[in-house]
Amino acid sequence: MEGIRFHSPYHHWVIGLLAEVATFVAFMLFVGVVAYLVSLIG
Amino acid sequence: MWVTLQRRDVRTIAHYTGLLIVGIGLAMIVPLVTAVSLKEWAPALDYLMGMGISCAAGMTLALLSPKNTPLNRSNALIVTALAWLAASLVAALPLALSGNYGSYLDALFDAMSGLTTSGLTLVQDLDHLALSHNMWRHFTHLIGGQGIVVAAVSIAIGLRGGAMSLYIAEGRDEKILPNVMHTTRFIWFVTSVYVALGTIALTIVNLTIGMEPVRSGLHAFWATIATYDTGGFGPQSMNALYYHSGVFEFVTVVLMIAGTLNFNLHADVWRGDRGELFKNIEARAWSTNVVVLVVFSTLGLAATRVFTGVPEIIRKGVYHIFSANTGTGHQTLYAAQWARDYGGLAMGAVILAMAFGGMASSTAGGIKALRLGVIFKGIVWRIHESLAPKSAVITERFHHLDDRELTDALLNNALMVFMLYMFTYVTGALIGAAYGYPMGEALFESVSAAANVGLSTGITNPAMPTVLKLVYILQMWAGRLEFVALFALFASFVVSFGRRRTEGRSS
Repeated sequence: MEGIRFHSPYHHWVIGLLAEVATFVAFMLFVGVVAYLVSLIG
Repeated sequence: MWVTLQRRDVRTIAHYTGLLIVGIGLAMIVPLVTAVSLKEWAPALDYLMGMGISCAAGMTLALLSPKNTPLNRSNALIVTALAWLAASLVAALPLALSGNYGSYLDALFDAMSGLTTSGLTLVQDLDHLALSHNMWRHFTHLIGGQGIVVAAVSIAIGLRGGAMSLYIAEGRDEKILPNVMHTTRFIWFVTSVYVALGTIALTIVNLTIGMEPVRSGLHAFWATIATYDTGGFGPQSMNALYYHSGVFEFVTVVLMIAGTLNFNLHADVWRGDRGELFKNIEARAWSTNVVVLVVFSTLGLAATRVFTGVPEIIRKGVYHIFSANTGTGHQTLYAAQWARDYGGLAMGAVILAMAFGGMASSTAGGIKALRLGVIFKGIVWRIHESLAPKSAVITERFHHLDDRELTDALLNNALMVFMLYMFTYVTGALIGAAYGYPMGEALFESVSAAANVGLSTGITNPAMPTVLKLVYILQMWAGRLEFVALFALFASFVVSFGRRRTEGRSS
Protein backbone atom coordinates (compact mmCIF):
# COMPACT_ATOMS: atom_id res chain seq x y z
CA MET A 1 0.00 0.00 0.00
CA GLU A 2 1.22 3.46 -0.81
CA GLY A 3 2.41 5.31 2.30
CA ILE A 4 0.06 8.04 3.47
CA ARG A 5 1.90 11.21 4.39
CA PHE A 6 0.53 13.57 7.00
CA HIS A 7 0.85 16.79 5.01
CA SER A 8 0.36 16.72 1.26
CA PRO A 9 -2.29 14.11 0.42
CA TYR A 10 -4.83 15.56 2.85
CA HIS A 11 -6.63 17.45 0.10
CA HIS A 12 -9.67 15.30 0.78
CA TRP A 13 -9.92 15.67 4.51
CA VAL A 14 -12.41 18.59 4.54
CA ILE A 15 -14.71 16.74 2.17
CA GLY A 16 -14.19 13.58 4.22
CA LEU A 17 -15.12 15.43 7.42
CA LEU A 18 -18.23 16.94 5.81
CA ALA A 19 -19.19 13.50 4.48
CA GLU A 20 -18.82 11.99 7.94
CA VAL A 21 -20.86 14.68 9.68
CA ALA A 22 -23.54 14.56 6.97
CA THR A 23 -23.77 10.77 7.35
CA PHE A 24 -24.04 11.05 11.15
CA VAL A 25 -26.80 13.66 10.93
CA ALA A 26 -28.65 11.65 8.27
CA PHE A 27 -28.39 8.55 10.49
CA MET A 28 -29.68 10.50 13.51
CA LEU A 29 -32.64 11.74 11.47
CA PHE A 30 -33.31 8.19 10.26
CA VAL A 31 -33.21 6.90 13.84
CA GLY A 32 -35.51 9.76 14.85
CA VAL A 33 -38.03 8.81 12.16
CA VAL A 34 -37.92 5.14 13.25
CA ALA A 35 -38.49 6.22 16.87
CA TYR A 36 -41.36 8.45 15.78
CA LEU A 37 -43.09 5.62 13.91
CA VAL A 38 -42.59 3.22 16.82
CA SER A 39 -43.90 5.70 19.37
CA LEU A 40 -47.06 6.11 17.27
CA ILE A 41 -47.65 2.36 17.57
CA GLY A 42 -46.56 2.23 21.22
CA MET B 1 5.81 -22.59 28.00
CA TRP B 2 5.22 -19.60 30.26
CA VAL B 3 7.85 -16.88 30.12
CA THR B 4 9.00 -15.70 33.53
CA LEU B 5 10.02 -12.13 34.21
CA GLN B 6 13.76 -11.60 34.60
CA ARG B 7 15.38 -8.73 36.47
CA ARG B 8 16.11 -7.09 33.11
CA ASP B 9 12.40 -7.26 32.13
CA VAL B 10 11.37 -5.68 35.41
CA ARG B 11 13.80 -2.81 34.81
CA THR B 12 12.53 -2.30 31.25
CA ILE B 13 8.93 -2.28 32.47
CA ALA B 14 9.85 0.18 35.24
CA HIS B 15 11.60 2.44 32.73
CA TYR B 16 8.62 2.77 30.39
CA THR B 17 6.07 3.00 33.21
CA GLY B 18 8.21 5.77 34.72
CA LEU B 19 8.19 7.70 31.43
CA LEU B 20 4.39 7.45 31.28
CA ILE B 21 4.10 8.76 34.85
CA VAL B 22 6.32 11.72 33.96
CA GLY B 23 4.01 12.33 30.99
CA ILE B 24 0.97 12.50 33.31
CA GLY B 25 2.90 14.91 35.56
CA LEU B 26 3.67 17.15 32.60
CA ALA B 27 0.02 17.05 31.47
CA MET B 28 -0.89 18.70 34.79
CA ILE B 29 0.48 21.92 33.27
CA VAL B 30 -2.94 22.33 31.62
CA PRO B 31 -4.98 22.55 34.87
CA LEU B 32 -2.10 24.48 36.49
CA VAL B 33 -2.28 27.16 33.79
CA THR B 34 -6.09 27.17 34.13
CA ALA B 35 -5.79 27.65 37.90
CA VAL B 36 -3.24 30.45 37.64
CA SER B 37 -5.10 32.32 34.91
CA LEU B 38 -8.39 32.08 36.81
CA LYS B 39 -6.64 33.00 40.10
CA GLU B 40 -7.56 29.71 41.81
CA TRP B 41 -4.50 29.63 44.06
CA ALA B 42 -5.33 26.63 46.26
CA PRO B 43 -5.89 24.27 43.27
CA ALA B 44 -2.72 25.70 41.65
CA LEU B 45 -0.76 24.41 44.67
CA ASP B 46 -2.47 21.00 44.34
CA TYR B 47 -1.23 20.74 40.75
CA LEU B 48 2.28 21.92 41.62
CA MET B 49 2.47 19.19 44.25
CA GLY B 50 0.96 16.64 41.87
CA MET B 51 3.50 17.53 39.17
CA GLY B 52 6.39 17.38 41.63
CA ILE B 53 5.46 13.99 43.02
CA SER B 54 4.68 12.38 39.66
CA CYS B 55 7.78 13.74 37.91
CA ALA B 56 10.02 12.67 40.80
CA ALA B 57 8.47 9.18 41.03
CA GLY B 58 8.43 8.77 37.25
CA MET B 59 12.03 9.87 36.74
CA THR B 60 13.22 7.56 39.54
CA LEU B 61 11.52 4.61 37.84
CA ALA B 62 12.77 5.65 34.41
CA LEU B 63 16.38 5.95 35.60
CA LEU B 64 16.32 2.47 37.16
CA SER B 65 16.73 0.96 33.72
CA PRO B 66 19.18 1.52 30.87
CA LYS B 67 17.66 3.70 28.14
CA ASN B 68 17.13 2.26 24.65
CA THR B 69 16.14 -1.16 26.00
CA PRO B 70 13.98 -2.77 23.33
CA LEU B 71 10.47 -3.54 24.52
CA ASN B 72 9.27 -6.99 23.47
CA ARG B 73 5.62 -7.92 23.05
CA SER B 74 5.00 -9.46 26.46
CA ASN B 75 6.70 -6.56 28.26
CA ALA B 76 4.69 -4.10 26.17
CA LEU B 77 1.48 -5.81 27.31
CA ILE B 78 2.53 -5.51 30.95
CA VAL B 79 3.54 -1.85 30.55
CA THR B 80 0.15 -1.12 28.96
CA ALA B 81 -1.75 -2.79 31.79
CA LEU B 82 0.36 -1.07 34.45
CA ALA B 83 0.25 2.29 32.66
CA TRP B 84 -3.47 2.78 33.36
CA LEU B 85 -3.04 1.97 37.05
CA ALA B 86 0.15 4.00 37.48
CA ALA B 87 -1.33 6.96 35.59
CA SER B 88 -4.52 6.81 37.69
CA LEU B 89 -2.51 6.67 40.92
CA VAL B 90 -0.71 9.93 40.11
CA ALA B 91 -3.62 11.64 38.31
CA ALA B 92 -5.65 11.15 41.51
CA LEU B 93 -3.16 13.14 43.62
CA PRO B 94 -4.36 16.71 42.88
CA LEU B 95 -7.99 15.53 43.01
CA ALA B 96 -7.43 13.98 46.45
CA LEU B 97 -5.84 17.27 47.60
CA SER B 98 -8.84 19.27 46.34
CA GLY B 99 -11.00 18.49 49.37
CA ASN B 100 -13.90 17.45 47.14
CA TYR B 101 -13.28 13.73 47.60
CA GLY B 102 -14.04 11.67 50.69
CA SER B 103 -10.76 9.78 50.43
CA TYR B 104 -7.80 9.09 48.14
CA LEU B 105 -9.68 5.98 46.95
CA ASP B 106 -12.56 8.18 45.73
CA ALA B 107 -10.09 10.39 43.84
CA LEU B 108 -8.46 7.26 42.38
CA PHE B 109 -11.90 6.07 41.27
CA ASP B 110 -12.44 9.35 39.38
CA ALA B 111 -8.95 9.27 37.87
CA MET B 112 -9.42 5.69 36.63
CA SER B 113 -12.91 6.60 35.40
CA GLY B 114 -11.51 9.64 33.58
CA LEU B 115 -8.54 7.90 32.01
CA THR B 116 -10.57 4.89 30.89
CA THR B 117 -13.18 7.35 29.47
CA SER B 118 -15.91 5.86 31.67
CA GLY B 119 -17.49 8.83 33.41
CA LEU B 120 -18.70 7.39 36.73
CA THR B 121 -17.79 9.83 39.49
CA LEU B 122 -17.46 10.00 43.28
CA VAL B 123 -16.81 13.75 43.50
CA GLN B 124 -18.66 15.68 46.20
CA ASP B 125 -20.25 19.09 45.67
CA LEU B 126 -19.44 18.97 41.95
CA ASP B 127 -21.39 22.16 41.28
CA HIS B 128 -18.87 24.14 43.34
CA LEU B 129 -15.71 22.35 42.21
CA ALA B 130 -12.83 24.65 41.15
CA LEU B 131 -12.71 25.20 37.40
CA SER B 132 -9.11 23.95 37.25
CA HIS B 133 -10.10 20.66 38.92
CA ASN B 134 -12.89 20.33 36.38
CA MET B 135 -10.33 21.01 33.66
CA TRP B 136 -8.17 18.14 34.98
CA ARG B 137 -11.09 15.72 35.33
CA HIS B 138 -12.14 16.33 31.73
CA PHE B 139 -8.57 16.45 30.48
CA THR B 140 -8.03 12.90 31.75
CA HIS B 141 -10.68 11.84 29.21
CA LEU B 142 -8.59 13.36 26.44
CA ILE B 143 -5.35 11.80 27.70
CA GLY B 144 -6.89 8.38 28.26
CA GLY B 145 -9.15 8.52 25.23
CA GLN B 146 -6.40 9.21 22.75
CA GLY B 147 -4.48 6.57 24.61
CA ILE B 148 -1.94 7.20 27.32
CA VAL B 149 0.15 4.96 25.19
CA VAL B 150 -0.36 6.87 21.96
CA ALA B 151 0.33 10.10 23.84
CA ALA B 152 3.50 8.60 25.20
CA VAL B 153 4.46 7.43 21.75
CA SER B 154 4.05 10.89 20.30
CA ILE B 155 5.62 12.82 23.17
CA ALA B 156 8.20 10.80 25.01
CA ILE B 157 9.31 7.67 23.26
CA GLY B 158 9.34 8.78 19.66
CA LEU B 159 10.44 6.17 17.19
CA ARG B 160 12.64 4.14 19.50
CA GLY B 161 12.30 0.38 19.24
CA GLY B 162 9.51 0.02 21.77
CA ALA B 163 7.00 2.39 20.24
CA MET B 164 5.24 -0.01 17.91
CA SER B 165 4.98 -2.81 20.48
CA LEU B 166 3.32 -0.38 22.89
CA TYR B 167 0.83 0.67 20.28
CA ILE B 168 -0.14 -2.89 19.35
CA ALA B 169 -0.69 -3.89 22.96
CA GLU B 170 -3.38 -1.31 23.50
CA GLY B 171 -6.16 -3.26 21.84
CA ARG B 172 -5.81 -1.15 18.69
CA ASP B 173 -4.12 -3.84 16.71
CA GLU B 174 -4.72 -2.57 13.22
CA LYS B 175 -2.16 -0.24 11.74
CA ILE B 176 -4.09 2.65 10.23
CA LEU B 177 -1.20 4.21 8.41
CA PRO B 178 2.17 2.66 7.66
CA ASN B 179 4.19 3.91 10.57
CA VAL B 180 3.54 4.78 14.15
CA MET B 181 4.34 8.49 13.97
CA HIS B 182 1.97 8.97 11.04
CA THR B 183 -0.69 6.96 12.87
CA THR B 184 -0.29 9.02 16.03
CA ARG B 185 -0.30 12.29 14.13
CA PHE B 186 -3.39 11.22 12.21
CA ILE B 187 -5.23 10.36 15.44
CA TRP B 188 -4.32 13.74 16.95
CA PHE B 189 -5.24 15.50 13.71
CA VAL B 190 -8.76 14.00 13.57
CA THR B 191 -9.17 14.68 17.29
CA SER B 192 -8.06 18.32 16.99
CA VAL B 193 -10.46 18.99 14.13
CA TYR B 194 -13.45 17.49 15.97
CA VAL B 195 -12.54 19.11 19.30
CA ALA B 196 -12.13 22.54 17.67
CA LEU B 197 -15.42 22.29 15.75
CA GLY B 198 -17.29 20.86 18.74
CA THR B 199 -16.00 23.54 21.09
CA ILE B 200 -17.01 26.33 18.70
CA ALA B 201 -20.49 24.83 18.15
CA LEU B 202 -21.16 24.24 21.86
CA THR B 203 -19.80 27.68 22.85
CA ILE B 204 -22.40 29.22 20.55
CA VAL B 205 -25.10 26.99 22.08
CA ASN B 206 -24.02 27.94 25.62
CA LEU B 207 -23.94 31.65 24.80
CA THR B 208 -27.45 31.49 23.34
CA ILE B 209 -28.82 29.79 26.47
CA GLY B 210 -27.42 32.64 28.56
CA MET B 211 -24.04 31.60 30.00
CA GLU B 212 -21.24 34.13 30.44
CA PRO B 213 -18.51 33.92 27.74
CA VAL B 214 -15.64 32.36 29.75
CA ARG B 215 -17.91 29.76 31.30
CA SER B 216 -19.51 29.04 27.90
CA GLY B 217 -16.12 28.34 26.37
CA LEU B 218 -14.91 26.16 29.25
CA HIS B 219 -18.13 24.15 29.44
CA ALA B 220 -18.09 23.74 25.65
CA PHE B 221 -14.48 22.47 25.65
CA TRP B 222 -15.19 20.06 28.50
CA ALA B 223 -18.42 18.77 26.97
CA THR B 224 -16.64 18.32 23.63
CA ILE B 225 -13.74 16.28 24.97
CA ALA B 226 -16.07 14.33 27.25
CA THR B 227 -18.32 13.37 24.31
CA TYR B 228 -15.74 13.00 21.55
CA ASP B 229 -13.60 10.80 23.80
CA THR B 230 -16.80 9.00 24.86
CA GLY B 231 -16.06 9.86 28.49
CA GLY B 232 -19.10 11.29 30.20
CA PHE B 233 -17.86 13.57 32.97
CA GLY B 234 -19.74 16.85 33.25
CA PRO B 235 -18.98 20.03 35.17
CA GLN B 236 -22.43 20.02 36.79
CA SER B 237 -24.07 17.34 38.89
CA MET B 238 -27.06 17.35 36.54
CA ASN B 239 -24.72 16.36 33.67
CA ALA B 240 -26.22 17.05 30.21
CA LEU B 241 -29.65 17.79 31.75
CA TYR B 242 -28.14 21.04 33.12
CA TYR B 243 -28.27 22.70 29.69
CA HIS B 244 -31.93 21.88 28.90
CA SER B 245 -31.10 22.36 25.23
CA GLY B 246 -32.10 20.18 22.31
CA VAL B 247 -29.38 21.72 20.15
CA PHE B 248 -26.75 20.88 22.81
CA GLU B 249 -27.97 17.27 22.78
CA PHE B 250 -27.91 17.16 18.97
CA VAL B 251 -24.33 18.45 18.74
CA THR B 252 -23.13 16.08 21.46
CA VAL B 253 -24.68 13.09 19.66
CA VAL B 254 -22.79 14.01 16.48
CA LEU B 255 -19.59 14.16 18.55
CA MET B 256 -20.42 10.83 20.20
CA ILE B 257 -20.79 9.12 16.82
CA ALA B 258 -17.53 10.71 15.60
CA GLY B 259 -15.87 9.46 18.77
CA THR B 260 -17.14 5.93 18.39
CA LEU B 261 -16.14 5.67 14.72
CA ASN B 262 -13.21 3.33 14.11
CA PHE B 263 -10.08 5.40 13.38
CA ASN B 264 -9.49 3.20 10.33
CA LEU B 265 -12.84 4.38 9.01
CA HIS B 266 -11.93 8.02 9.69
CA ALA B 267 -8.70 7.40 7.77
CA ASP B 268 -10.49 5.82 4.81
CA VAL B 269 -13.20 8.47 4.60
CA TRP B 270 -10.77 11.38 5.02
CA ARG B 271 -8.63 9.92 2.24
CA GLY B 272 -11.61 9.91 -0.08
CA ASP B 273 -13.08 6.40 0.21
CA ARG B 274 -16.51 7.40 1.47
CA GLY B 275 -18.17 4.14 0.40
CA GLU B 276 -16.35 2.38 3.24
CA LEU B 277 -18.81 3.96 5.72
CA PHE B 278 -21.60 1.90 4.18
CA LYS B 279 -19.80 -1.32 3.21
CA ASN B 280 -17.94 -1.85 6.46
CA ILE B 281 -19.23 -4.75 8.58
CA GLU B 282 -18.59 -2.79 11.76
CA ALA B 283 -20.47 0.32 10.62
CA ARG B 284 -23.35 -1.91 9.54
CA ALA B 285 -23.39 -3.91 12.78
CA TRP B 286 -23.23 -0.73 14.88
CA SER B 287 -26.01 1.10 13.02
CA THR B 288 -28.24 -2.00 13.08
CA ASN B 289 -27.67 -2.25 16.83
CA VAL B 290 -28.64 1.37 17.38
CA VAL B 291 -31.80 1.15 15.27
CA VAL B 292 -33.03 -2.07 16.95
CA LEU B 293 -32.28 -0.75 20.45
CA VAL B 294 -33.97 2.59 19.71
CA VAL B 295 -37.11 0.64 18.70
CA PHE B 296 -37.14 -1.21 22.05
CA SER B 297 -36.30 1.90 24.02
CA THR B 298 -39.04 3.96 22.36
CA LEU B 299 -41.61 1.18 22.82
CA GLY B 300 -40.66 0.91 26.49
CA LEU B 301 -40.86 4.64 27.10
CA ALA B 302 -44.17 4.94 25.23
CA ALA B 303 -45.59 2.16 27.43
CA THR B 304 -44.56 3.75 30.76
CA ARG B 305 -46.33 7.03 29.89
CA VAL B 306 -43.98 9.00 32.18
CA PHE B 307 -42.70 11.26 29.42
CA THR B 308 -45.56 13.09 27.80
CA GLY B 309 -45.64 13.63 24.08
CA VAL B 310 -43.87 11.95 21.20
CA PRO B 311 -41.01 14.54 20.92
CA GLU B 312 -40.03 14.04 24.60
CA ILE B 313 -40.09 10.23 24.25
CA ILE B 314 -37.89 10.39 21.13
CA ARG B 315 -35.50 12.91 22.71
CA LYS B 316 -34.94 10.86 25.87
CA GLY B 317 -35.03 7.45 24.19
CA VAL B 318 -32.70 8.24 21.29
CA TYR B 319 -30.20 10.30 23.33
CA HIS B 320 -29.66 7.61 25.93
CA ILE B 321 -29.27 4.81 23.39
CA PHE B 322 -26.59 6.83 21.55
CA SER B 323 -24.97 7.84 24.83
CA ALA B 324 -24.93 4.23 26.10
CA ASN B 325 -23.93 2.55 22.85
CA THR B 326 -21.04 4.89 22.11
CA GLY B 327 -19.84 4.47 25.70
CA THR B 328 -20.21 8.17 26.49
CA GLY B 329 -22.54 8.16 29.47
CA HIS B 330 -24.00 11.65 29.33
CA GLN B 331 -27.51 11.56 30.73
CA THR B 332 -30.49 13.88 30.59
CA LEU B 333 -32.19 12.21 33.54
CA TYR B 334 -31.68 12.30 37.28
CA ALA B 335 -29.97 9.08 38.42
CA ALA B 336 -33.01 7.98 40.44
CA GLN B 337 -35.25 8.23 37.35
CA TRP B 338 -33.68 5.17 35.71
CA ALA B 339 -35.26 2.76 38.15
CA ARG B 340 -38.35 4.82 38.90
CA ASP B 341 -39.46 6.24 35.55
CA TYR B 342 -37.66 4.54 32.69
CA GLY B 343 -39.44 1.19 32.71
CA GLY B 344 -37.96 -2.30 32.38
CA LEU B 345 -37.96 -2.54 28.59
CA ALA B 346 -36.30 0.82 27.91
CA MET B 347 -33.79 0.26 30.72
CA GLY B 348 -33.03 -3.20 29.30
CA ALA B 349 -32.39 -1.63 25.89
CA VAL B 350 -29.96 0.84 27.47
CA ILE B 351 -28.15 -2.00 29.33
CA LEU B 352 -27.79 -3.92 26.05
CA ALA B 353 -26.62 -0.78 24.26
CA MET B 354 -23.90 -0.31 26.91
CA ALA B 355 -22.92 -3.98 26.83
CA PHE B 356 -22.59 -4.10 23.01
CA GLY B 357 -20.58 -0.88 22.77
CA GLY B 358 -19.28 1.12 19.84
CA MET B 359 -16.60 0.37 17.28
CA ALA B 360 -13.10 -1.02 17.75
CA SER B 361 -10.08 1.28 17.35
CA SER B 362 -12.00 4.13 18.96
CA THR B 363 -12.51 5.34 22.52
CA ALA B 364 -15.79 3.42 22.87
CA GLY B 365 -16.01 0.56 25.35
CA GLY B 366 -17.97 -2.68 25.51
CA ILE B 367 -17.84 -5.78 23.35
CA LYS B 368 -17.57 -3.70 20.12
CA ALA B 369 -19.62 -3.85 16.94
CA LEU B 370 -16.82 -5.51 14.93
CA ARG B 371 -16.91 -8.57 17.21
CA LEU B 372 -20.71 -8.70 17.14
CA GLY B 373 -20.64 -8.49 13.34
CA VAL B 374 -18.07 -11.29 13.16
CA ILE B 375 -20.08 -13.44 15.60
CA PHE B 376 -23.25 -12.88 13.55
CA LYS B 377 -21.40 -13.88 10.37
CA GLY B 378 -20.05 -16.90 12.26
CA ILE B 379 -23.57 -18.03 13.17
CA VAL B 380 -24.66 -17.69 9.52
CA TRP B 381 -21.53 -19.62 8.50
CA ARG B 382 -22.26 -22.55 10.84
CA ILE B 383 -25.91 -22.76 9.76
CA HIS B 384 -24.87 -22.65 6.12
CA GLU B 385 -22.31 -25.42 6.75
CA SER B 386 -24.80 -27.64 8.53
CA LEU B 387 -27.23 -27.41 5.64
CA ALA B 388 -24.63 -28.07 2.91
CA PRO B 389 -23.53 -31.51 1.69
CA LYS B 390 -20.55 -32.98 3.58
CA SER B 391 -18.11 -32.55 0.71
CA ALA B 392 -18.90 -28.84 0.21
CA VAL B 393 -16.45 -26.23 1.53
CA ILE B 394 -18.44 -23.26 2.78
CA THR B 395 -16.67 -19.95 3.29
CA GLU B 396 -18.04 -16.72 4.69
CA ARG B 397 -16.67 -13.30 3.74
CA PHE B 398 -17.01 -9.85 5.22
CA HIS B 399 -15.80 -6.36 4.43
CA HIS B 400 -13.69 -4.51 6.99
CA LEU B 401 -11.34 -2.14 5.16
CA ASP B 402 -10.67 -5.03 2.74
CA ASP B 403 -12.70 -8.05 1.75
CA ARG B 404 -11.75 -10.74 4.23
CA GLU B 405 -12.54 -14.38 4.79
CA LEU B 406 -13.96 -15.38 8.14
CA THR B 407 -11.64 -17.83 9.87
CA ASP B 408 -12.02 -20.01 12.95
CA ALA B 409 -9.29 -17.99 14.67
CA LEU B 410 -11.14 -14.70 14.14
CA LEU B 411 -14.40 -16.17 15.33
CA ASN B 412 -12.75 -17.75 18.40
CA ASN B 413 -11.13 -14.48 19.34
CA ALA B 414 -14.41 -12.55 19.03
CA LEU B 415 -16.31 -15.17 21.06
CA MET B 416 -13.65 -15.27 23.76
CA VAL B 417 -13.75 -11.50 24.32
CA PHE B 418 -17.57 -11.63 24.21
CA MET B 419 -17.57 -14.28 26.95
CA LEU B 420 -15.07 -12.35 29.08
CA TYR B 421 -17.17 -9.19 28.91
CA MET B 422 -20.34 -11.14 29.79
CA PHE B 423 -18.56 -12.79 32.71
CA THR B 424 -17.35 -9.40 33.96
CA TYR B 425 -20.77 -7.77 33.59
CA VAL B 426 -22.50 -10.56 35.52
CA THR B 427 -19.85 -10.82 38.24
CA GLY B 428 -20.05 -7.08 38.94
CA ALA B 429 -23.84 -7.28 39.03
CA LEU B 430 -23.78 -10.19 41.50
CA ILE B 431 -21.39 -8.34 43.82
CA GLY B 432 -23.67 -5.28 43.65
CA ALA B 433 -26.68 -7.46 44.40
CA ALA B 434 -24.81 -9.04 47.31
CA TYR B 435 -24.57 -5.56 48.85
CA GLY B 436 -28.35 -5.31 48.70
CA TYR B 437 -28.88 -3.26 45.54
CA PRO B 438 -31.76 -4.40 43.27
CA MET B 439 -30.46 -6.77 40.57
CA GLY B 440 -31.55 -4.57 37.64
CA GLU B 441 -29.75 -1.52 38.98
CA ALA B 442 -26.69 -3.57 39.99
CA LEU B 443 -26.48 -4.98 36.44
CA PHE B 444 -26.92 -1.50 34.93
CA GLU B 445 -24.08 -0.08 37.03
CA SER B 446 -21.79 -3.07 36.50
CA VAL B 447 -22.20 -2.98 32.71
CA SER B 448 -21.73 0.79 32.78
CA ALA B 449 -18.38 0.38 34.58
CA ALA B 450 -17.03 -2.58 32.59
CA ALA B 451 -18.06 -1.12 29.23
CA ASN B 452 -16.56 2.28 30.17
CA VAL B 453 -19.90 4.05 29.73
CA GLY B 454 -20.63 6.04 32.88
CA LEU B 455 -24.43 6.13 33.05
CA SER B 456 -25.47 5.70 36.67
CA THR B 457 -28.60 4.68 38.51
CA GLY B 458 -27.17 6.29 41.62
CA ILE B 459 -25.34 3.27 43.08
CA THR B 460 -22.04 5.04 42.36
CA ASN B 461 -21.86 7.63 45.11
CA PRO B 462 -19.32 8.47 47.82
CA ALA B 463 -21.24 6.44 50.42
CA MET B 464 -21.15 3.17 48.45
CA PRO B 465 -19.27 0.19 49.98
CA THR B 466 -15.48 0.32 49.56
CA VAL B 467 -15.36 -3.17 48.04
CA LEU B 468 -17.80 -2.08 45.34
CA LYS B 469 -15.63 0.97 44.56
CA LEU B 470 -12.66 -1.39 44.11
CA VAL B 471 -14.72 -3.76 41.95
CA TYR B 472 -15.80 -0.92 39.64
CA ILE B 473 -12.20 0.38 39.42
CA LEU B 474 -11.09 -3.11 38.39
CA GLN B 475 -13.97 -3.41 35.90
CA MET B 476 -13.16 -0.07 34.26
CA TRP B 477 -9.49 -1.06 34.03
CA ALA B 478 -10.22 -4.54 32.62
CA GLY B 479 -12.86 -3.27 30.19
CA ARG B 480 -10.56 -0.59 28.79
CA LEU B 481 -7.75 -3.09 28.18
CA GLU B 482 -10.15 -5.67 26.73
CA PHE B 483 -8.78 -8.15 29.28
CA VAL B 484 -5.75 -9.54 27.43
CA ALA B 485 -3.19 -7.01 28.70
CA LEU B 486 -4.51 -7.27 32.25
CA PHE B 487 -4.45 -11.08 32.20
CA ALA B 488 -0.90 -10.95 30.82
CA LEU B 489 0.08 -8.77 33.78
CA PHE B 490 -1.47 -11.09 36.37
CA ALA B 491 -0.21 -14.24 34.65
CA SER B 492 3.39 -13.05 34.44
CA PHE B 493 3.41 -12.02 38.09
CA VAL B 494 1.85 -15.29 39.22
CA VAL B 495 4.13 -17.42 37.04
CA SER B 496 7.31 -15.49 37.90
CA PHE B 497 6.56 -15.37 41.62
CA GLY B 498 5.45 -19.03 41.67
CA ARG B 499 8.60 -20.24 39.84
CA ARG B 500 10.91 -18.29 42.09
CA ARG B 501 9.31 -19.78 45.18
CA THR B 502 9.56 -23.36 43.88
CA GLU B 503 13.16 -22.77 42.80
CA GLY B 504 13.93 -21.39 46.26
CA ARG B 505 12.42 -24.46 47.89
CA SER B 506 14.27 -27.01 45.70
CA SER B 507 17.71 -25.42 46.21
